[in-house]
Amino acid sequence: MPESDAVAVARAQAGDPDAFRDLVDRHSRRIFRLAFRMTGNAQDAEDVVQEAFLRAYKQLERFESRANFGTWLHRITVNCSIDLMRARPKREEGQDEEALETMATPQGTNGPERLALSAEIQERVTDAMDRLSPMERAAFTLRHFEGMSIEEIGSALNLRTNATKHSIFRAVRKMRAALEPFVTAGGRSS
Amino acid sequence: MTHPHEDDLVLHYYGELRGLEAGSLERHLRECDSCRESFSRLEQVLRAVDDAPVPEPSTDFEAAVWTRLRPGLRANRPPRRSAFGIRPSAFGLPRWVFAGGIAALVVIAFLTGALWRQARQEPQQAAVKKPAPEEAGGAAADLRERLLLAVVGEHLERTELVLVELLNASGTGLVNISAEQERAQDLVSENRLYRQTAQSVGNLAIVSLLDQLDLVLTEVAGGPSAIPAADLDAMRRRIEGQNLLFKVQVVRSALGAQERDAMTRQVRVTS
Repeated sequence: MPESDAVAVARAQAGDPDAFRDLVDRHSRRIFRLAFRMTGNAQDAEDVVQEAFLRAYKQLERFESRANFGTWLHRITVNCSIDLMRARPKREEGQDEEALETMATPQGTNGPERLALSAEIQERVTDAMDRLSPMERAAFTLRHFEGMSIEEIGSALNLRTNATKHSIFRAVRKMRAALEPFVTAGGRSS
Repeated sequence: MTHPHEDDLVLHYYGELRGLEAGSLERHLRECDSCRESFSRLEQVLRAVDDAPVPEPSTDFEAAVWTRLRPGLRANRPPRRSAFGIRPSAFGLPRWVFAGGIAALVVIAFLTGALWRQARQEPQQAAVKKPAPEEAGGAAADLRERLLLAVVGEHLERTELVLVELLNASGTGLVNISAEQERAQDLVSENRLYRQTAQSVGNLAIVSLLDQLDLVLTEVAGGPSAIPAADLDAMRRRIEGQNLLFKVQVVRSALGAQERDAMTRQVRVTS
């Protein structure tokens, strides 16, 4: 744990009101990015940031000083994001598959259209991410964007290793179904 | 030649294969054109995902977060008003005193309805002008319904908080859950009383949910205040497995809508 976080946590635990603000200043942007990746919506991400700090504050006295505040806050943010996503109306699975196939039809791919295609791919990535279930999105985000191992993800999401892997596999399959025609048509190379 | 499964390619991309498995798959990719092509397409898709944009918050984002957060921190808990617009802590009384009062109101309302039905069966005692039986009986039923919906909604809100804190609690060795335990102890008896009332008015969905919550609340309230991390994990898995948090949120949301409907009917009856 970085010294500065440790000192700020200790001050906050001792009742120093400015200390928690230091932690908010240091971690807000990072957990906003995580929350946005998890929820796909800036307003939701802001709400998650708010709720995550509030939960952290309420549990601060039980936070162990040996632990890493950033990791702990990361985990709280993941849980807040999942709670929020679960509270949203659920999409129909069948409709999702159908929609992914329909949307996977590339249009122009040559010359001046390449820039537009890049923007279109970004849009499709966003749409495909939105079509993942909360658990698929959480597992995929933590693996792909946050670089967490499958074991760490299982621990954060309270899933067994196999269930974690399958959430990631399903997410990747859906992303491939939605994006592969665009990516290969766009001439991207590895 | 045995080709690797698509899922193994995903694990390889993320560096999750180790030792012999990783070596064997790399050898195969060097020798097999179709698998190499398939892996290349997977890489292209996943690299495209990297480009997904994340908006950069404004320069005063941290200050805005702090401004919104500060009132909640001052109170140590966000101010939560009951469905009647009264904040229990405003009286400076323990929460169970307030909850007990509300529960008593529900019981009184229920008994009032029962007595009213009894009175309707003894019309000879009616000496003074009173409202039409259907109208007044309906109003009493609506009052009971409103009170039940309001108190159960408030109860579920506080139970949800305990569940969320249990799901977020972390630590190694023994984990201190004394704060959650204290709240669970407050909630157990209320939970049973509301379950009984919901059963009386025939709301089986609420009965079923309160039954499931009773198991968790009783376990937390009656157990030790510090539990091994493994036991906490097992408890969390049970809560997750039953989708308990989600069910609470769904029922709470439905109750809010029903309560508004009941209030509308009450206004129509009294106007």
